[in-house]
Amino acid sequence: MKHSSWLVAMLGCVIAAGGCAKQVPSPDLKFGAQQRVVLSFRGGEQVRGKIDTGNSVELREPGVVWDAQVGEISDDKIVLKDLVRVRNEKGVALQVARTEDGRLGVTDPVPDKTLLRADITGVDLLKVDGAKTAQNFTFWTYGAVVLALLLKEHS
Amino acid sequence: MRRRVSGTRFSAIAVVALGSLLAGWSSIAAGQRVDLDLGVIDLATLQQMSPSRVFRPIDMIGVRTGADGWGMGGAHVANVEGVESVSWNPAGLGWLKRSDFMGDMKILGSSGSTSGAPDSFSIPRTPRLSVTRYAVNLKSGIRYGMLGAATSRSIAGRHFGGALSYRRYIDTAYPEAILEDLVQSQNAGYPVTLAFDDQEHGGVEAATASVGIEAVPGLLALGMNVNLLSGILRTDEQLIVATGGPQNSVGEIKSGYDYRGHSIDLGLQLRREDLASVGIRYTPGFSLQVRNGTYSVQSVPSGDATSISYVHARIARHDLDVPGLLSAGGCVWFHPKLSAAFEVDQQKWGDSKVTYVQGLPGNPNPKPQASLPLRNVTSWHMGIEGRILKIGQVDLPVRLGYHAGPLSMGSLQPIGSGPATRVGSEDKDIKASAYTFGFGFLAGNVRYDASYEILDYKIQKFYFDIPYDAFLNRYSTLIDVDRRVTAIRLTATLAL
Repeated sequence: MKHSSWLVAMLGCVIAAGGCAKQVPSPDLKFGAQQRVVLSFRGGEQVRGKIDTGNSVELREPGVVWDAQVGEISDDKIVLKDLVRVRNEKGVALQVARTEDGRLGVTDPVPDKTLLRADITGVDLLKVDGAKTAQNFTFWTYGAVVLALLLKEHS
Repeated sequence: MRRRVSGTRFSAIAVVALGSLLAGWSSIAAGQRVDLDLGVIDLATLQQMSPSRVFRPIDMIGVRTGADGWGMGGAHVANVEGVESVSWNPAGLGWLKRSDFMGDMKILGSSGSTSGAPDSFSIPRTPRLSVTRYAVNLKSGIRYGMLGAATSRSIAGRHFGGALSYRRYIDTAYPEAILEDLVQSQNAGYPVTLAFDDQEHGGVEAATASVGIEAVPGLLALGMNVNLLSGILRTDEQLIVATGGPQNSVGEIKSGYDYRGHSIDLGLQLRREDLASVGIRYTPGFSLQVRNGTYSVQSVPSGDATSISYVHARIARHDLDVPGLLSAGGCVWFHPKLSAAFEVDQQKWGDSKVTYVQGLPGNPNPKPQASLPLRNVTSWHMGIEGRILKIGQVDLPVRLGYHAGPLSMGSLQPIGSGPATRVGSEDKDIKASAYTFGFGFLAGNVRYDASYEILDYKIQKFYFDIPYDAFLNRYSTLIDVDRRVTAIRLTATLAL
């Protein structure tokens, strides 16, 4: 108990160091395979992550959020495979379906998703927001110190 | 070697004196351990044995959190809003239009001077010791104030703010350190130091659920806190005799309480945007359960380092009637960037009673009542805030404040003389006043506030905090202490 308060403080610092991301639009709609991006498509879909073969990305369609893998990339299309429904857009977890997918294969297989590069309407590069990260880090570190003082009084 | 022998000799004399005194024992034979169980004692008995355990302020006003409020001298009941409203006036939650997280802490320090201490320390059959320094100060330390989170919602066309927080609710800790330096008058240079070093932590804390409502949009907000009270107070006073020998002789006085209870705080704020506001906060009186009270003294070992007396007792379970706290104040904006605030707080601690919930030895009443040496408190607070300075595009609010009012504890006085000296409470307030300064700045969505307070008051303490002792306080001497307490408060608020 004597040291737990300081462990809490350090944990707080680590959590606080997690950082905050900001989206920087790419004016020419270009992006690299090693850049974390948000691609917006004409049909309302959004793909978030590193667009490189084999990488895991998040696909948002109107109403549903999927986890997927980048299966194929060419000059005119991006194919996503192994889609697993994570939740619907209103935040209701669909863990049952996910479990069925993984363990029993009861649900129908989800077809691959092909997205045309010509339908890309926006590319946002995901970058660490240094100023915001520093602000949040400072606040949560301070909060962790206050919590540590509180716990110390109870030890 | 000669010095060491000399030191040991002084150690023997001094520690026997302290040992016998603190144990209430006239003499202890070499190698003897005396274990004395006093059973259940009441607060009056505790007051005689260790006055500072009872003569201490119980504070619900200075404990409020928020450096911006204290930068303005504690005049904040009328203009507080957001999560820190929980501490000052829950009505301020009614104006909240975002979500807030807040952390608050306080760094305490103390300095001062004493007068009236004897200039020598005399023990029979030994050379006289000269007192070169006698100091009594509050112990410095860092303490949390509050952790809280608040958010707001519109429900059925009404705007609500709600908060959950954990905070210090009543300050009961009052750690002091006594330090006396002595030298032999006839053999200049050999020092002896007697130190009473008190470490304390705890107090009454509140887990609070709060709600505020904007009852009349832009004009009237109402709020309420529901407080679940708990907490502990632990004191550990080391009695150290340092004679320059290889090892100091150390004794110990320990005490402790557990607190339980519940209370509510009610609040109201009337405001006209950027013109004026009025605020009232009222905490109805409530009963605070004080349980598991313990008190023990282990004497400083005597000269052969084997003779120790150990006295211990249980403090009778009791309920303390905490009187209602009323705060009222106003704030005027002379200009969008310049405001002034004032506040009056009142709490009648002098009317509070202690009700024992168990019988006391020699008292036929199954639930006897008693009073603590507490005084009514009416304090005045005022302050100004100017947003005149800027760093880049960010306003830098600067605050100045002043507050004055008595401490809630009474001033002690000796009654009688010699071994029969009793501890009484004088019919006199301990007046305190403070100047405060503060500033704040906004870094993105995080606001930081800091305040610095200088609080001055004069109190009287028994020499070595002992009403009478044949060696240490033969004449029941009272020491005048001119005390200065400095407090730095730091508050961080994250708005989402």
